[in-house]
Amino acid sequence: MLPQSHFTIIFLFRCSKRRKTKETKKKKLRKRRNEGNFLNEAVAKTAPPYTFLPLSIGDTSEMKHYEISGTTLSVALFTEVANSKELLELMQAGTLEPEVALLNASLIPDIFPVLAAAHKTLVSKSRDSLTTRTLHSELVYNYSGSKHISESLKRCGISDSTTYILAARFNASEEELNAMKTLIKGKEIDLEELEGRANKSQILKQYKITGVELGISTIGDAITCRIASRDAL
Amino acid sequence: MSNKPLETLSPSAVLPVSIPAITREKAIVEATGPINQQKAKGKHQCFIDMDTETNGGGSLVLIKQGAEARVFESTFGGRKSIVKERFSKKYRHPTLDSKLTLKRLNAEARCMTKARRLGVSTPVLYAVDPVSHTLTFEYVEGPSIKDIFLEFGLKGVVEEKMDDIAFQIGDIIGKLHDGGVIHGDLTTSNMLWRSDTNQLVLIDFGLSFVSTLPEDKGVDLYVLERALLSMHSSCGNVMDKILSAYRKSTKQWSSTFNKLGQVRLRGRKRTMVG
Repeated sequence: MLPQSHFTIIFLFRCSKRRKTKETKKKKLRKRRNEGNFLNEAVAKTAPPYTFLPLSIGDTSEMKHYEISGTTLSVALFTEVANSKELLELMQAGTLEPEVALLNASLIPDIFPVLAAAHKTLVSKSRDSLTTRTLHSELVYNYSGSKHISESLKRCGISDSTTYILAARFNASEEELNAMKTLIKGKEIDLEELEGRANKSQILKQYKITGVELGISTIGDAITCRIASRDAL
Repeated sequence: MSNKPLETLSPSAVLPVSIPAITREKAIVEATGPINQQKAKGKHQCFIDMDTETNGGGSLVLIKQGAEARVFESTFGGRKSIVKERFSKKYRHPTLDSKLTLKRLNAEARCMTKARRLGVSTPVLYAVDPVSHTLTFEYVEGPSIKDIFLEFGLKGVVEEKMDDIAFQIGDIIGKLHDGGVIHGDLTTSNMLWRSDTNQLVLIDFGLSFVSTLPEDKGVDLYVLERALLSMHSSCGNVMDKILSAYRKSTKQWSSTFNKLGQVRLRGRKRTMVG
């Protein structure tokens, strides 16, 4: 009695096992084929965008436009801004129209780190994983290279007494750009002046850049590295 | 879910607005059902433009494919760049796979930036994407040290250049080790020669880790020694030059050198178990 039942059990078990392996083999094959297709397509389609072309939108002012993954980033640099307190209040109330990112320009020695931060912002936007409340505050937060939100908005954003501001907006229309210019009461200057006007000692302190690192890298590249690697640390 | 092939998308799942390129994230969101589709539509509406160009105009050009990653050439912010994609391994369990891939991706980014902080020239990191497992960094113009040494082997050694290169190799390894970073894969093909500044650039931190043990440093140097012996034996004794430069740059020379001696006798693996 006993051995027989054992045999049947073993037999059944073996049968089911064999059938399973056949099935899984087929499945695996199908899966692998699909995956192969998918991988290729994934590379073509999910590969993040890497074009930032300076565009000219028929604008005559000093404003520059960069294309990042099909979205434009319009950037303007202002000095001698008189109404930073008003701007700050509007921004904190969430009623700044149009919504723009206002960065403390003395921390920006080059436009490239801003583009890297903008790229990071757009990627997290496309995945609906913004850390801060709005797209433009996310840009300021990303530029800071730190994980501390309020601190980075304070340092890389504007304060009551800031007079030197970099304003940036994604996908801005002509009217919005004009509105932005009337909103910020200051003198618009060329982006070329970023390097000369940057506060080097403040940057070194904010991003913890040592002299050893500056020996092999420019200050802008050092900032870019910190922006990119923030979430990996 | 990430294994869902794109083909399973029914035409109705695609948004009414014509979008030439659907991102993987979006495709998945849409494939999961009509409710999510509505949600996704609302969220993406203002940035429809962004989604249309996410493949970057097809500017990714495959340069090399290895066992763990693919390397593409592309542009980023108007600069030439390299994109390194760590693909998932289908033979591993998905959970383990994503953990390992992410861990290595982050470790690579971390060690590269740490090396820069120690004054070792590495490519500038432009972006890290944990979702698509890609790293984007600067494109370094110039040949690899391997190519230079192979040329030396064919056409005769240019002593001056050779000394310069060997000195820089020893110097940067010393800096790395003193800062507690072990590269893990020191070979001549992982070193580039930036042609405009004549500067050595260390690449591929995929196997690197943080350690201050003399054992790890010894193994790191031993790996380089073996690589030099097997590839570039015709170039003379490069390792001696590298070691003398290393000696000048590091503060823990004696302990590391003793370990290197031990490692030479027994090979790279400490225990012969398993």
